[in-house]
Amino acid sequence: MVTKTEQPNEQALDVNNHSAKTSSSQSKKWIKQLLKSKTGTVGLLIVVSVILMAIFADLIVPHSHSETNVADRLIPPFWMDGGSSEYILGTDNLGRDILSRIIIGSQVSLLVGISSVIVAGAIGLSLGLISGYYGKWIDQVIMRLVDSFLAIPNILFMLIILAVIGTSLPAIILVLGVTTWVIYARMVRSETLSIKERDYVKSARAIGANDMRIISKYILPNVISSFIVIATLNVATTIILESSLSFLGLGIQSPDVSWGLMLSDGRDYLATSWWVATFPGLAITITVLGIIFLGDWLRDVLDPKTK
Amino acid sequence: MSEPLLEIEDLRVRFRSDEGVVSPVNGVSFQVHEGETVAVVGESGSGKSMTSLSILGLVPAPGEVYDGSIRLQGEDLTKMKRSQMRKLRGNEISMIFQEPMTSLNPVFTIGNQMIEVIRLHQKLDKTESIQQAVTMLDLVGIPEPERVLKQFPHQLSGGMRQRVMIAMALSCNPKLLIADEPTTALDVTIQAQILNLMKELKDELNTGVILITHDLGVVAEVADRVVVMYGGEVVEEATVDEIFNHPVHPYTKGLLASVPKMTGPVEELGAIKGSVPTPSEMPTGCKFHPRCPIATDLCKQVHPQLEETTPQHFKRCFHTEGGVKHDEHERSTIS
Amino acid sequence: MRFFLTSVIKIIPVLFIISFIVFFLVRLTGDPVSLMLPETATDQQREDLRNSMGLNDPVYIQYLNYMADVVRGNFGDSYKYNEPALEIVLERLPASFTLAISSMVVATLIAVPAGIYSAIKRNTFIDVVITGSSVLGKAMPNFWLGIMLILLFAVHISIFPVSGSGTIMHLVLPSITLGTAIAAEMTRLIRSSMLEVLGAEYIRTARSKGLLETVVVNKHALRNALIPVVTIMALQTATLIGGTLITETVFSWPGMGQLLVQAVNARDMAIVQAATFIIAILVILSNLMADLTYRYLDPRIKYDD
Repeated sequence: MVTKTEQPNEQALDVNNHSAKTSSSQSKKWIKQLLKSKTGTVGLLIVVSVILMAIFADLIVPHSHSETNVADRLIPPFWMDGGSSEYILGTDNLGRDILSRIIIGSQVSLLVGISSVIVAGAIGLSLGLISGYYGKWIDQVIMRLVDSFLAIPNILFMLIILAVIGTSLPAIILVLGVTTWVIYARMVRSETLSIKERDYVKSARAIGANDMRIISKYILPNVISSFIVIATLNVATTIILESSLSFLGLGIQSPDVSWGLMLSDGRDYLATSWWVATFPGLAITITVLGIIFLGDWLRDVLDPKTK
Repeated sequence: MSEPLLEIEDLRVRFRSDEGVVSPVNGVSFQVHEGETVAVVGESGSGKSMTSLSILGLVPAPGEVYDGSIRLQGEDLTKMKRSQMRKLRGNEISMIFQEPMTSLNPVFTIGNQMIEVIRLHQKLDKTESIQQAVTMLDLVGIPEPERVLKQFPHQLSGGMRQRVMIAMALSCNPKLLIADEPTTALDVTIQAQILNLMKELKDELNTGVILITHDLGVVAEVADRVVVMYGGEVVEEATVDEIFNHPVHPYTKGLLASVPKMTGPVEELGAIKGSVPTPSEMPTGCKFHPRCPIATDLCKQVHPQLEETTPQHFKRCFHTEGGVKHDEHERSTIS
Repeated sequence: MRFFLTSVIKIIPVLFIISFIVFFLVRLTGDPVSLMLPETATDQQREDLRNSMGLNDPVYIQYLNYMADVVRGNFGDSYKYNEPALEIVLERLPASFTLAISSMVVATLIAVPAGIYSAIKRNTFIDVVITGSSVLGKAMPNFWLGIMLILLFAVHISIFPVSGSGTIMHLVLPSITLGTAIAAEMTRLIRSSMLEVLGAEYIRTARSKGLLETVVVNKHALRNALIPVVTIMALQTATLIGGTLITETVFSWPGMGQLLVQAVNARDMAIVQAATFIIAILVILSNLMADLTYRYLDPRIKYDD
């Protein structure tokens, strides 16, 4: 009797040990793979630096990002004639330090990028699971909703909603989330459809597992890696969308700082002061590039089949 | 015997990558005469398909033929320029592939794909090449050839597509036809029809045929001579009667023992355990020794040479009848 | 034909949902009466106008009336231009079409050769350069690229006009801006599609026939590789139109995109509604076209129905 009850315990322990071992060797393998991929490493470095920059923005800014100083307006970057080491990347039309504004602007980009992906991901994941798992009329309804969202360009949808409800940081996050969930819903739905038909799911259902259990135990874990990859890559997309909104005047409003807004300001001074519009764009490009590199690497590691 | 149509000598193919060099073909030699069908037999991974691609100069990158020669009527194909090689392909040497379903381009009509090769190699105008295509389709027994020319591959059955492939391969009257598992993907009755067709056409056109297969049933039906390959080398070569009645190498015996099981594209051998090691994991000594029922320590250490046991019957084994032979029996010194 | 019917049937609920969304968004913008009457108007005057516009009816009646108008193509008058909104939008359509088509031409001219080349030269230096540029193209915000092009080719070297329309020169920078953005995605698609096709057995057959490598690639491989590319690109019409919104604004290109952005900023909802419907219909039509093109490019589909 005693041995019989102990045996499963031992086995359980063994299994635990085994999985602990594999997860640590797994993470080692990941790091090894990450370092093997040059772009993955570069992507990680960029993303980590932008995150650190956003977190410690207030500590590292050389100047105030909002204080205007008309005497020092439109000073070029330090290496040009008339530039000063005081303002490394120059100043804008109101004499504000561009470097400081870029550093502060990273907060908005990341905040909006990450939070709206969470909003969109949550909506898309749940609708996708429901649509794929239950099928029938609910699938039809959700898929027609998806089609409708796909028929209106994201950016237009956002512009209209923001024009109606007014712009603010939470509004922008919400609107970005509400208009970009479709991509997750479609991906999750199609994965769910194929997982649902696998034998282990069928047998789980045959022994009486309920829907919640099947979804959380069998379907979700299989969907999650593709989901993470798409979500990562979409942080990049949303950062670009936010900057586009701000550029078009319906995103972040002054005195808040956003890279898109800075670019929009700089547009009027192109003829004389190229740096005002150039550096914020560069900041967006580098950040987005970093996220794409990281996302592509994640795809290679987590989800090689979608490559 | 007359000069052979094709003479492969000591052919070696290697693939170089970051992980190292692997050689799927290691010193293969055999000959094909006009009007003769030589079957190259072995499990998948034995190097038979790579050998056939080498003949056409179509070893996929990063693979390369790095040693040996392939002579077609005396001319070494491995030393030819790419443009010269292109003139031979589809013209002097044609190939039929395993999967008739995927070997034809799905977005072009049969006519388009047939006329393309006819116009490329023969000085014919459009109507003449259409006529030639119709003749060829007729020859391979396709009803209503004019209509089939206008059809897309997916509108034909598997057997019909393989007939089209054969018609296309023979449309420029090649001297050598390489057929890589031409009937594996087809069902049994169609298989027999296609094999009969190939036999008839070969006799009619006097083409030399290399038939690549793992299917000894097919071999018995059409081959004149059989080359058995294992691990990228020839392990036994003899006439078809010899192979079936007096097999020498334990691998050949194993292949024959699993024939009755052969009902479809089964690449497993009932009588021999395991499978062909990958080229990067080739054992030393005799490559077959881990799976061989009669292997000894000698087999683990020394690599046997190909030698003649009875006239025109070659084997690469220490232990089967005839015992250990000396170098003068090496095939190269005889031929 | 059956396929066509099922597609059309699927479109109806989509248009219905869109009308629903637009209707409620517009109702949410606030009281249109306050925009239409001067501030000095009395409460009675406001109430009368509300009654005459049907704003005091129950919501579903309002929606039905609204739908009745929409079906007749009546989206109301633009308060800014004092003209029927649909007419104003349709007037701007040709300019947007010109931009969209020339951008697609630019994109195709870049992406087809670049995609093919990087696929056949896989893992070489040139492949790395091409794939790298396409990632960079995706990372650059479209409007920033536009601004940088203005900076380089209109401000520093004055080859092209900064903005506006009228001559073919005006079309160059906007088309490059939008075209390269599309090309970035297209190149990646063509490359991966080509790589898949080049491994197919019919490519080996084509080579075994002795065809020139250029014929193998440009005839046998490309035709097959383009099938998924065309479909995916057509499905991105919405993105393309979204791109015209931004590009037209950057270059003051007088198309529907610029009109829309201005209308949104001015809360000119009649125009916003009309334009949104037109865009949705364009997108749905182009998706239908994508399906038809797919059927044309891939002969296997037609007979499988």
